[in-house]
Amino acid sequence: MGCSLRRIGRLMGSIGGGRCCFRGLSTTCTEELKSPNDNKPINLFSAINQALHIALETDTRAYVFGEDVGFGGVFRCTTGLADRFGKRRVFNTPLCEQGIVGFAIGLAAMGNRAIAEIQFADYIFPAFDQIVNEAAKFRYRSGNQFNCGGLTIRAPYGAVGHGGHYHSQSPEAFFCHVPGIKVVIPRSPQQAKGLLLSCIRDPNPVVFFEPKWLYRLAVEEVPDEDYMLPLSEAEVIREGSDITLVGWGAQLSIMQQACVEAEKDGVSCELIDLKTLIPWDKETVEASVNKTGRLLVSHEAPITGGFGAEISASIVERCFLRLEAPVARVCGLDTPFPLVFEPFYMPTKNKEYIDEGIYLWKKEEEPASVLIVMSHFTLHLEVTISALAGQLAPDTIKVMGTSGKQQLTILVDTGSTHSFLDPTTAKKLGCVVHHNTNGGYCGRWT
Amino acid sequence: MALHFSKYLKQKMGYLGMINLRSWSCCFYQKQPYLSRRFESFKADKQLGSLHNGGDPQVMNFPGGIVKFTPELKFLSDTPEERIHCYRVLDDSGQPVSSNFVQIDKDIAVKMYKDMVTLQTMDTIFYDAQRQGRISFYVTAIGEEAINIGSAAALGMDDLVFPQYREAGVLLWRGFTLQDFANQCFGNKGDNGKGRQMPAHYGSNKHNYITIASTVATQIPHAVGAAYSLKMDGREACTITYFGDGGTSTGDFHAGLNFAAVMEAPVILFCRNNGWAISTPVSDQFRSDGIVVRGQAYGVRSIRVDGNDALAVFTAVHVARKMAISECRPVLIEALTYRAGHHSTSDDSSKYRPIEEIEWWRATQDPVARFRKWLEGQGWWTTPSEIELRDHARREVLHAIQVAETVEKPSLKEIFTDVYDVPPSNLCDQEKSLRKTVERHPQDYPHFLF
Ligand SMILES: Cc1ncc(C[n+]2csc(CCOP(=O)(O)OP(=O)(O)O)c2C)c(N)n1
Ligand SMILES: [Mg+2]
Repeated sequence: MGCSLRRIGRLMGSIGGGRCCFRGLSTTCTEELKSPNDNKPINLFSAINQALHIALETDTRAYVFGEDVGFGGVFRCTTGLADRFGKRRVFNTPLCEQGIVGFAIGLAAMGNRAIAEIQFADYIFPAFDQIVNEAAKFRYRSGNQFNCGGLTIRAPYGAVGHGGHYHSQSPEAFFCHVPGIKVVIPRSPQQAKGLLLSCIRDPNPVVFFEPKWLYRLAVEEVPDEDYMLPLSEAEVIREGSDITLVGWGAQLSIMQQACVEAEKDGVSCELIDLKTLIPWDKETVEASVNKTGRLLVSHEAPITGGFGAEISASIVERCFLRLEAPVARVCGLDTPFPLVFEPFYMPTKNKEYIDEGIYLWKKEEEPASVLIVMSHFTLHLEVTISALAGQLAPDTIKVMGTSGKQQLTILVDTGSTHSFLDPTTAKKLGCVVHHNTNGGYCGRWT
Repeated sequence: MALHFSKYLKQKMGYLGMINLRSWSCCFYQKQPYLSRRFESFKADKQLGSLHNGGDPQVMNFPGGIVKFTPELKFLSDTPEERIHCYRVLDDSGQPVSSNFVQIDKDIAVKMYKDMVTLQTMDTIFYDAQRQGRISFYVTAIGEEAINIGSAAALGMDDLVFPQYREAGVLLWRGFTLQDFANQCFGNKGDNGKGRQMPAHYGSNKHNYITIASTVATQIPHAVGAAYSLKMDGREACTITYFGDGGTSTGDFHAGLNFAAVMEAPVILFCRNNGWAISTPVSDQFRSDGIVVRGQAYGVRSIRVDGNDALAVFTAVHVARKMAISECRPVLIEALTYRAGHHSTSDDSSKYRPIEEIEWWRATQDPVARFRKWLEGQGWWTTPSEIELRDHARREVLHAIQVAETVEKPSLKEIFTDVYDVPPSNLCDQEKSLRKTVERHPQDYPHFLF
């Protein structure tokens, strides 16, 4: 069902406790784009529309099609294109996603730019076979005799405040598991235009997910001209020294709020927009984590098997000795996207900032958690865990990880209502106790 | 001609002809013994050569059956000389054009009319409620009341419904109350679906109405599988699945129709061809003579009916149901109509179709008004009852909304239930951590029961 965004503001006001204002943020300009004077503030769907105009204008072999594309699309991204370029280049398709993508692959294989719209990312699954088994392998299976590199699939993704199961999903991770396609997600109008043009002109099939929450809400100055932003290059959109935050798309505006909040408490966050999910820019993230020693990844999609897991694993591989804390993931719940529970499902600012990671840098009078570092854990592990368990409700003990061979770190959440671990008792149990009053996880792994 | 041909084949074919004539016979509308074809075992042929044409060089027994040869180079036409006719009972003024329809008694007819009016009233008020920001979404069946109620009235309560999203009337007919509808739209505690889906995504086990998904046409193969189960269990029931003209472009429609034919499933495939799929007109959707002709292509009996004529819809479904159950076969029904409302509350159809067109359909083809004229002609309906009915329906709908608005939302634990039969450990952990977050930041969350 075509979901208009007209009413988000009002709805969010009532359900989301005014969260809409966080969403409205558009992210900062990249340096190289700041020059022209004729930049106009436009929203994200208009930026997409501009990119499509340019794509059709600059390449007579470019086509735009999909369900309801002829009249401008349910999100207005294709407005005016059919009038301008004619119904043979911009057209409605029958309601059939597998058909849209299959047709697009054939069109692209003939040396055209096939720009296919899937009305909602939630409805991309009938085309999954065409994307995974056909588009992604077209080049490889033919020994590079054939390719469908001119294929770009656009689809609105993500939460929108009232979308329920089938107008809210973030299916990017499914596609990140497919060698042979690229997955790109823009965060703002300016990014959307430049990245979409790159995707359209990239010689590989690309899935381009557009954050539909931002279609109308995100407004920023976008250069009129034809420009492309590089794929597979992440961007540090905020510099910091204490923790690295990585995200993409609409989630970045939430993360940015968390950064601002953290800054008030003296925690300096570095925020990275990944932009291209596969093939992704590990180097930029790695460099940042090597600087900060900590990583938090956040996405709307369910946490389990999300792309955050891939980032987390890769960074642990590359930066293990530099990490001062486990990688944190603040993500959607492992449930279908639930309508009235949307505010609970979402990886919100406070989940991110307070609860799942950055919190530990916050200076507080009362320690909200106690970090226990035990030496020679192999000897003491069982004894200590059970002794701790005697003192505490079991769910407040979280084994954070081991460092090399000697130490086990246990984080005890004393902020919980059910338990309190008195540091003296902990010491009696043979633990070295650190309060988190001096920031962070109290020292490095040694 | 067809019968003549079959006789001719029989003479020529000997015992092999027997087998093949059985599969031919389904085209001639002969009654099949229950489960006959599915479990038939075939014997290997010993003398292939002569048996494959029965000695007649003019025919060949190909793997799919006997085909006659022709020296004529003739392509089948893409379009029929004349479009398939549309079965109708009532003309525009509500007068029966023939007596060729299933008679219904007064009680049923009056209930049909009342439900059509109630559906229309509910749609109008719920639509406005969305405009006022009280619910987040809505989709009406305006213009398709006869399809909704006419088909529902012809079904048995044991028949399972696999709906799209524009068939709330079927559920209304079955006894889902206005309060039930309102509770779903408000996603409150009274919603069967526990507030998880968008408004207008109803479902009721009690009413044999499978829960709606927004995904178009995915329900079609489900209806076929369920019908197969009814057949295997020897039940006196069928399934019915509804879908739009747009839905017939999906892979699921084609898979479903073909499975229905091959599995000989007692399913009614009901297409509401309302001319539009959001902004896409049928001319951009398909180039066949609508949907009805697809039936024959797949070996499924089919009929085209006037979707704005409740008696025609009722009769077609009634007869289709009988065939489906007693002969164990699918039937495809294409009801021609017009989507007289916007696609949904997210749509403004004046952007892509002339307002006059909408007005014309609303003014001259209102299925509710047509049925009322017929009822009046029968002497079963009067102006005072009309005023009372509309007033009553209006008050009931408004009341349902008022109540639904005050009913609390489902409790937080319902986020995590029903993902599986029981929540696995990851969900238990996530519930705990969510509860902590909510305790710490109550200002971030709506006032649910924590
Ligand atoms: C698989 C899928 N693709 C796209 C959509 C978006 N969508 C919702 S309704 C609709 C049009 C359906 O038209 P039709 O089948 O004719 O039914 P009608 O709305 O006319 O009753 C579309 C494209 C969807 N819900 N599911
Ligand atoms: Mg339709």
